[in-house]
Amino acid sequence: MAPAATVAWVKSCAKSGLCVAACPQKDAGLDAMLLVRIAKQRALNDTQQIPTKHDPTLFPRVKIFARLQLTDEELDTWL
Amino acid sequence: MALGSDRVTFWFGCNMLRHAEMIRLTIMLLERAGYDVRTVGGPGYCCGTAHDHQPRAASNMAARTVGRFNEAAEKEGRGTVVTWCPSCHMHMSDIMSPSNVTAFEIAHVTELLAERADRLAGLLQVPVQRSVLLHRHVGFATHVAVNDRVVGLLSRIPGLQLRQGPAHPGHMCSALAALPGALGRAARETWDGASAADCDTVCTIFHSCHRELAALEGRGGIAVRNWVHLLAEAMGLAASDAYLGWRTGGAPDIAAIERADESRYHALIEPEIRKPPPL
Repeated sequence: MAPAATVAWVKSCAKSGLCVAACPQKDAGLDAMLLVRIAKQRALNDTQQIPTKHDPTLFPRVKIFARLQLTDEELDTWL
Repeated sequence: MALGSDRVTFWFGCNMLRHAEMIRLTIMLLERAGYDVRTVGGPGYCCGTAHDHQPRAASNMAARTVGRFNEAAEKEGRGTVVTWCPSCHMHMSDIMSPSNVTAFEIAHVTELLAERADRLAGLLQVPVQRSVLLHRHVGFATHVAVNDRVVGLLSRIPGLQLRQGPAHPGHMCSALAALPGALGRAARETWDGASAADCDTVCTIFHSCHRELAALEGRGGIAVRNWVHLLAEAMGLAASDAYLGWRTGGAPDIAAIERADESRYHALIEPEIRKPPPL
């Protein structure tokens, strides 16, 4: 389990990437944004310290948007 | 770019399906720049990033998508996958490519078009008399200097006056949605910046930002256009925007709704296009 402050920090990441250049270990090859992303995955799936926000309507919704606008040919060849 | 690498796969992602005209305009721009384009996207080409809560399913989706791109590279010579979505691009670069065998390179669409900006410039013959504020985010700069690439392309448009807007956090507006107040603040700063600079147009770079800001069309006399719309205008081409029309009170025609499935339209689409604007 991670400390609450760490979880809050990881949870609020908006992928600005400013941490990448700011990381003192950048020159050693560390990608701080990727590490935060891995930490978020662990908090979601391993320690369950971040609640999942699964949207089951995501794919059905974009499919309806596609059918509203795409031609039959576009539907056949793009998707 | 070497002969043969002009054959590309344009991977527009999932959420761009809201913006069919923007997909078509991007294909047109790539083709006018000299690329042979095969276009793919939607759930069948998911990068997996929307399924972070199901790592095994996300991994399988990513592997399937990489496999399809490998097949296009090996059988059709499409050795470059061209992205639109920064989330797909970063996920491919950081997660999908390192964890799968890939037979292709990845590039963002603005990189390919910027590389051939001279070829496109000759096609930009219609003056676009707009004063434009570019809506920017800082995040994607870790992978692609997208703000600079778009500025470089828009600066080729005759008549267009371009100002760079505030640099917002995140890679696009969807990254701000989970942070209380952040999306509204970005929208407010963009509109305030446009007003202060006497701009009549806000230009979006990514679909997620366009999706949010489209609802503000006309607010304070400021229009909302995407960068591909502006390039198309400069080519004298129609640059319609159905999604923007729906977000500002319009609706798809009834035949399209029936074709798409009327009950699912009311359940899934109407709540989105009728939701309050971010500002």
